[in-house]
Amino acid sequence: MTEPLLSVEGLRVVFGQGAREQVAVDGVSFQVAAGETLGIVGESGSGKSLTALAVLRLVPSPPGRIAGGRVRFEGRDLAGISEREMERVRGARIGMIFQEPMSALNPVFTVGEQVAEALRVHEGLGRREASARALALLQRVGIADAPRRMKQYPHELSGGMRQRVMIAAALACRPSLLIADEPTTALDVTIQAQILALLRELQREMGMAVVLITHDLGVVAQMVDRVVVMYGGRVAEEGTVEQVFGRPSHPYTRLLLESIPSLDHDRDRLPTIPGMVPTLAELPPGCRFHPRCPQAMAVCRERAPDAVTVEPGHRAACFALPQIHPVEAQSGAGA
Amino acid sequence: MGEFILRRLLAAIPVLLIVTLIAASIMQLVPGDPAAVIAGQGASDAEVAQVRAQLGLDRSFVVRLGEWYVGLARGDLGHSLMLNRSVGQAILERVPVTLALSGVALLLTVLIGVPAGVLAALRPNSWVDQLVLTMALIGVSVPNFWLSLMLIVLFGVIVDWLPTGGYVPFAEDPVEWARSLVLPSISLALLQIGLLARITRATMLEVLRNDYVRTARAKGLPRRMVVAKHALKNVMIPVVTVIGISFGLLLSGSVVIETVYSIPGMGRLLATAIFSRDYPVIQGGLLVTAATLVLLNLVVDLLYAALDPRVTYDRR
Repeated sequence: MTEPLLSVEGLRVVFGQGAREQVAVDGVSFQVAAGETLGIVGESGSGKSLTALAVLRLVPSPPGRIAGGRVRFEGRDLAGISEREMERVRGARIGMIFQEPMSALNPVFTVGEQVAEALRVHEGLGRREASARALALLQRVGIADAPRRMKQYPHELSGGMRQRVMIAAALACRPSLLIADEPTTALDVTIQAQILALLRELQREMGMAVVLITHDLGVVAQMVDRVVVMYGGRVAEEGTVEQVFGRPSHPYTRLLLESIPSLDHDRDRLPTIPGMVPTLAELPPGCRFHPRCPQAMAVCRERAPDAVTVEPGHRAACFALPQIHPVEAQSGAGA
Repeated sequence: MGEFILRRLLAAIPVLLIVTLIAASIMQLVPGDPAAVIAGQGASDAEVAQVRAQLGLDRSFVVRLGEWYVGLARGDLGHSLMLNRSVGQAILERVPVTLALSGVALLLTVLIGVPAGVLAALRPNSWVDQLVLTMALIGVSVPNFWLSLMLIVLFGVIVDWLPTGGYVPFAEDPVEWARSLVLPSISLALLQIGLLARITRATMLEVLRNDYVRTARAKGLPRRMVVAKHALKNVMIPVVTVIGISFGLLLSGSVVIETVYSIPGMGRLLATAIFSRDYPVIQGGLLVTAATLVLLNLVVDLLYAALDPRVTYDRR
């Protein structure tokens, strides 16, 4: 197998210093192949957005910082390169779009300018050339009347249009990887479907890989090839969509899937997961999920489970799984 | 836009009328008699009364004020009781001096205050930040008349580098003009530099936390560009308002500074006029000062719209 496009190993992100240090991302590992779509699923506070920001070295610092792990991308360890080199990766090789298209665009610059500037910085284009490319990009992401829209400011555009502008800006330099952090959460349902369709189209056209971060399991099912389920800053389960959704192995994944409303099952009450997502300050010892887990055992309170291979390409971190394919402990995930 | 400016200028007229009315009424309540000042210390009551009649001060306040407004409508601000020239002429001589002083002070305020605040915000709690905050605190707490005296002693007396006072018009000698403004403008600006640095720092810290700053970094823009372009333009929106207020305060602060450094500007003209109860000069001076502030506010509002596309003054 060739080297994956992006390979994250044992990533740790912590907040605060010394005794007040809190671990927000704890030994997270995953890989993304070129052209593939990976979904990272989890509730708020699971560390999924921080994981994405850490790949681009954009964790707000202080108070946060990357405390360990490796991020290999296109054959280089992004943790080891200089900030100048990192700037040449951001926006050029890895694009990123965010949840709130209103606050993610600068209110005092025209949308045309905000799409064009990445081209000027990374490809050294002149103002006129960059502007022409920006216009073509805006037309490509489906903005009607693009020449007029170019000169408008974010507050003059609808939410869906703003997210299209964000996509145009993120893809301006044809990156090989797009990280989309909850790209449709703030949008109306009909707009959501359009944006997702657009992302899929552009992905096929440009042959880029996509990391889609979401809490929406429906979006995952229709968009992604493989999925990583996160809980409490750790990876709970990982596999293809058929594996994870069809044969969930981690109790958390199972409960998560059962809580999706379905037209086939006529139920009065939707099952919910008892308890609440723990905050960073009150993360339990051992397996992060044990206080809410129906199958919790004594060992779950003491140690964190290592990932177990359930079937080829499908792994989960749970002591309740038969330990038939123990894999070597992932750096940072054990102990 | 043109309509907005016109509306604002028309709205300024009643403001200026009320300012002059209040100023005249207050001066009427202050004890003191310009006729006695002009007649001299040894003058008899009859002589004083005669001077008063000559000046027209024996007529009632309402009549005199009415006359002043009639004159104003013709563009005539009256005649000074003491200076042997028209009020308009006296003000025209003094305005360029004060504008030069407060203009240079404003330049110092903006060119030092904004960069200092930005630098402090980029490295919060670093030594740069501590230095800026400490200097700002000193600037805000030191009274400017005391600072003036210390600067005069240091640069004018101990090391004889700069003139201790006086003013040389630009047209006469540009170098001496600049030298004569160094100490006064620093004395005047220090307080405003401190305030502006603190406000710029706080605003920049807030702006840097915005999502669009993260987007700009995610696009791979160099940090310098993220700060100087994306953050700074947003910082300037509230800061421009503060700069406008600063300029108003610089104008009023010039009364003290012009007196300490013997600079013949509007501030000293007004201060002298108040001591000698030169009513027409006080009236005219306050009118010009108030009009300047009204114009200043208008300029700030226009700058505001130029910086922030969400602000528009066109009626729909």
